[in-house]
Amino acid sequence: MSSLRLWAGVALAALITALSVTYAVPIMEAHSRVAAELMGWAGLPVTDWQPIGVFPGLEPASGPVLAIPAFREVSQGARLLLILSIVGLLIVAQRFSLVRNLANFLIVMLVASAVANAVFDNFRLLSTTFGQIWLRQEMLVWLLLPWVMILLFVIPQPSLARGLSWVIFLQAYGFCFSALRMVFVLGVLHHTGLIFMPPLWFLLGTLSDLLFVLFFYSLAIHRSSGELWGVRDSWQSHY
Amino acid sequence: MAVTLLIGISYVIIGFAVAFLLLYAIRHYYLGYSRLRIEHPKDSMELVGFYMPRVTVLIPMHNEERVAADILKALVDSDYDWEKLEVIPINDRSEDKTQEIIDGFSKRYPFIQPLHRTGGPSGKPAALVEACERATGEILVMFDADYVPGRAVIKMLVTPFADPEVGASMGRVVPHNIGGSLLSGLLSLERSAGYQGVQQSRFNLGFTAQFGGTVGAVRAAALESVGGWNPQSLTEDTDLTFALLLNGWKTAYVNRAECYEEVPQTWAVRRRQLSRWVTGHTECLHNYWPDLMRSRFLTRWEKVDALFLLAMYWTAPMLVLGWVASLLLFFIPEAHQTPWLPVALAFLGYQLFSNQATFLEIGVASMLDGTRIRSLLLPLNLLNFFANTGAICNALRKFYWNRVWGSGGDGWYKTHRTRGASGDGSAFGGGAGAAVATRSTTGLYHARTQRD
Repeated sequence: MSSLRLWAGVALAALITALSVTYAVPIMEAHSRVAAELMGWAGLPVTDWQPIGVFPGLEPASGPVLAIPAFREVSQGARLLLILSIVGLLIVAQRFSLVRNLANFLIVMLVASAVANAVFDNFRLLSTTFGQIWLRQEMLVWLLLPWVMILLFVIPQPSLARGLSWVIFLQAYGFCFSALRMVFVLGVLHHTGLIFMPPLWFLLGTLSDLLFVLFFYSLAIHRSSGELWGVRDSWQSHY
Repeated sequence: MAVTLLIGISYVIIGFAVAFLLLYAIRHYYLGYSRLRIEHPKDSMELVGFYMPRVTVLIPMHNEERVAADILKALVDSDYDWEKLEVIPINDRSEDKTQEIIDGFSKRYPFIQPLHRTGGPSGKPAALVEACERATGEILVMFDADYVPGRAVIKMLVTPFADPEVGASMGRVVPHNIGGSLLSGLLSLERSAGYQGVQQSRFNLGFTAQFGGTVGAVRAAALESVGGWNPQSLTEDTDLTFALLLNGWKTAYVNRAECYEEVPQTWAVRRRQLSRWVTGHTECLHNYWPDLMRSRFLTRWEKVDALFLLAMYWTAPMLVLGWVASLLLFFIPEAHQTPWLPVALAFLGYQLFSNQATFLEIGVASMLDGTRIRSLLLPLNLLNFFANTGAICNALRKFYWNRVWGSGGDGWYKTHRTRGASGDGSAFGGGAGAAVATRSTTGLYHARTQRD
């Protein structure tokens, strides 16, 4: 592996980062438009889109205005869903030892969330605030992701062009996947209030970003292994 | 005021966790990257067969009737000169047929000299201490009883000792029960990353390889110079690694010396194994870090690497503390007003990447090994990661509790074997006394199975 490969990856990551910073506002606006489209398909009653300041010094992006009920306004169905979720997770924790810790952590989050919501029953989170927090986090993910992907996709791939293509594809995928997850979480919050927010944030926040990268990484490795086995030298010492 | 303080403390915890884990991320990525970059991995395989000192093979056994015959058969099959070979199966108060199986082999092969322990402290380190007093080899090779060494493994493991500075060598452990369960499949990926990726990379970079206590060899003189095995340690291998390092001995890694082992197939077994490793490893951290920092044999980077190695289990509680702090911030509306919450959360989330920068190492090892189907299990390793995190935190909690309050702590625990017994104490066809050795025309010893 020559340093050309490394520098090509670094150059692409730097370019993506520079474009993400320069066009941060249009990117966030595009994210909001994709989210708006998905919310329309999902039938979520968005009443308005309001400007939200994502980072100081940047022009505001748009955040959806969607009713999120406080705990006392939550339907009986949502409370039943909470109980069923906890019971379901308890069963999973009992039966599948490998996922026990994850299930227990989610149960703790659900219980803590339920208790906090019950104690502070006037606690509210506006959908625009949620959109603001989500965009702040995802913007950082979009800035960091190319650098992680150089190491995961560009360096180990037998073909430099394919490695670079993976980075571009995954950056675009991450953008769309983020909008989809945000809409899903907002939809759940709209119907069930804030009870499910902590576990949803945990599972569908950066953990999902990690998971989709890992999913594609395993595919890339699967393909590379098939091509490289028996010709190790070609990628260990050349390019 | 209290809320502001809580927010402040949470940010400090998250910041510290992020910084700590980021250092490990850099280390993992660097090791993975360098494993791919180095064109010719360091080894001494061109010398195999030219350097053949007298060797003693030590195999601690406790109730090993399921596996004892396999390893003894494999050692009889070994191409190491029998004149220079001594095998000491250490039967540590077994209550099953282990003694019978060992004695069966011993009667046929004079180089197998069993040690039946009936008293003294129990556990692997204590058994090794006693066996070393009887060993006559210049080099001591260690295998766990469930391991199945290949024919040339002993030759490969002793080759690095041609360098008089080498005090120990370590081979590669390869699981043979990959399809036993999802867990064993995931652990096989971890093992690949650990040996093919990290051990080889660290050895290439001039850092000390970690002696694993099995599929490893130690120079008897080096062992003596550091005071022998530490019978108090739960991880006598890690303890020895650092005792040798501090006394100026090198530990070599031999990637081609592959030996097959059985990895845990159930989480209960894995948790206990992990718990023992965490306790022993952290004990070594406390015992050795001051001497490591002062060592005159080590470069600055070697010290840093050694410290990283010893403190690696701290990453789990750091991550959990960060998660707890971020969970707290969720329930404090004032924390939502600053742009720093999502920044902190994003970076903490990214620590999953850093902690799992090992994924890069798994990928690298998969490619080097030509592993295809198993590499698709990679995303599921996240489950293993969560499971490990909990088990490590629990083990550390117990360790520090015992340290502070002076209670007994965990004892030595033998990993449960799941290999099916075939009635003759073997799953690989090595029944007690079934192998007959012959010398071939090339002068090498071979064994064939007698079907009587």
